[in-house]
Amino acid sequence: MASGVREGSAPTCGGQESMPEAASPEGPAGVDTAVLGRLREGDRSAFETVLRAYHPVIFRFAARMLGDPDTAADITQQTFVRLHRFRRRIDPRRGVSSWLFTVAQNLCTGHLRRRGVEARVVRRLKPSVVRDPAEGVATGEAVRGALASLPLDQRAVTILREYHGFTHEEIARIVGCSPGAARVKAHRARERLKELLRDALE
Amino acid sequence: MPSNERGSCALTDDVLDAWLDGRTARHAAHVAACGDCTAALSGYERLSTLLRTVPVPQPPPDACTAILAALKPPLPAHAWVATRVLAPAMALCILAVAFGSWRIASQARGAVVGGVHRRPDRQPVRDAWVVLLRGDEVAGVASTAASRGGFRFDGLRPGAYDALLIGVGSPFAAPVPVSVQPDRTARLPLFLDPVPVASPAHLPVGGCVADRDGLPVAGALVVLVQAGRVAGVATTNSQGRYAIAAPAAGAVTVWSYAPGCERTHLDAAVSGSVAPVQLDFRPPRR
Repeated sequence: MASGVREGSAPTCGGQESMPEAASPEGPAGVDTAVLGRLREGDRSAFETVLRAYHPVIFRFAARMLGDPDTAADITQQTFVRLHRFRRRIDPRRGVSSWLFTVAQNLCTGHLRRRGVEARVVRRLKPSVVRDPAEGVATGEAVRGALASLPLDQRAVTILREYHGFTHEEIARIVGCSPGAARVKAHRARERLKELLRDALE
Repeated sequence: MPSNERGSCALTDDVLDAWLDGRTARHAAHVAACGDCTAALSGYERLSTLLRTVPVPQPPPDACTAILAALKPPLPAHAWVATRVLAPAMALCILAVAFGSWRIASQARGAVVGGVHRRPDRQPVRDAWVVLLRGDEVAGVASTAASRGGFRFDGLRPGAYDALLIGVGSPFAAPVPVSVQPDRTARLPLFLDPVPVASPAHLPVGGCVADRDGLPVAGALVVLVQAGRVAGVATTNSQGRYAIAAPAAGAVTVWSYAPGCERTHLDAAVSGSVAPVQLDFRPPRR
């Protein structure tokens, strides 16, 4: 798998990343099939290895999905509590990355749908996006607002694609759709983002 | 799929998809020669660069420690024996004495067996599904493919059940009541009427079935009903994902039958669109 780093354009994400955000089936350093095997058996140190390797990645995914670091930390905690509880469902050969992203994505989607946050966020952020996508902080706000205005499935596909570097096939497995549908969602999201961020892109 | 930068080149979407998935070599020669594709790629690169100008969210510094502390700590050996062996054993003894053998007898399970045949020639139907319901809870899902139109449900709590017969092309009929007695096997013959020749299904409907914890449910039966007839049937894979096709545009009702969960349904409209209609189910577990 392409393991998240596209040719010639590593997802540096504002230059603050020391590690690519995406995770290959083998996962970040230290998480291999042996560790996942021990995780299945309930080994606490193996769980801690996986937790410390994947926590920042899953947190960043949740924070971008939700636009709220506090809730993202809560969703991330729930994801790893589920990993600990349902560790026997992990297949060490297939890695743990897709499983974690699937659970985190389901939890984020469920949270946003339950709270009806989606509509409120869109209402609050959309006008500023259209009105003033200036440089610096304003551009960051514009990008966050544009992402928040995407439908949930398109938002998830865009975040997994742009910030975590997953291929469309991997995204399809995580989001629960066909690879073709993932491509269509990605296309629609791109067109919508280009429209919303037109001023910032010029 | 429209694109701002897209010109007349028919390959642009394919090229962009391949590029995004890291498969650049295959189209490199074409991109070098095609102005439309070069413009589309550079437009995407601008968008991608802009998206990455957002500061990276940073997790709370002690988050991992908090999660580890929230998990149950491993028990010392003597505590493990006390809590995992002695305490359950004592609890079991107390339960057995308190409730008595009559209670255990009333827990005896029953079974339902039957077969699905077609009217009027009584040929076995091998491509039907039978869903056993206890109220709104899905007690079991069985295919008739394995045993010449036969099906079987074992280990059922005694009580009143409903059997729902599902055959593609047949009417989405009312369930048949069946009573399960302790240590008895109820016989349930079911019949399907002849099915008119169906038009080929081509409008995709897909999604996933996950429980309220967000965990995907494998082996759930998903049934697409259109105009009162069963237009398509699918089961979810290990990721909880399913894909069905509807034969015609219009209103559909899609039911999910996940064993151990409540049956749920969603109404939707399918059109001639390329993109599948996305319907995700979150049935509560019983």
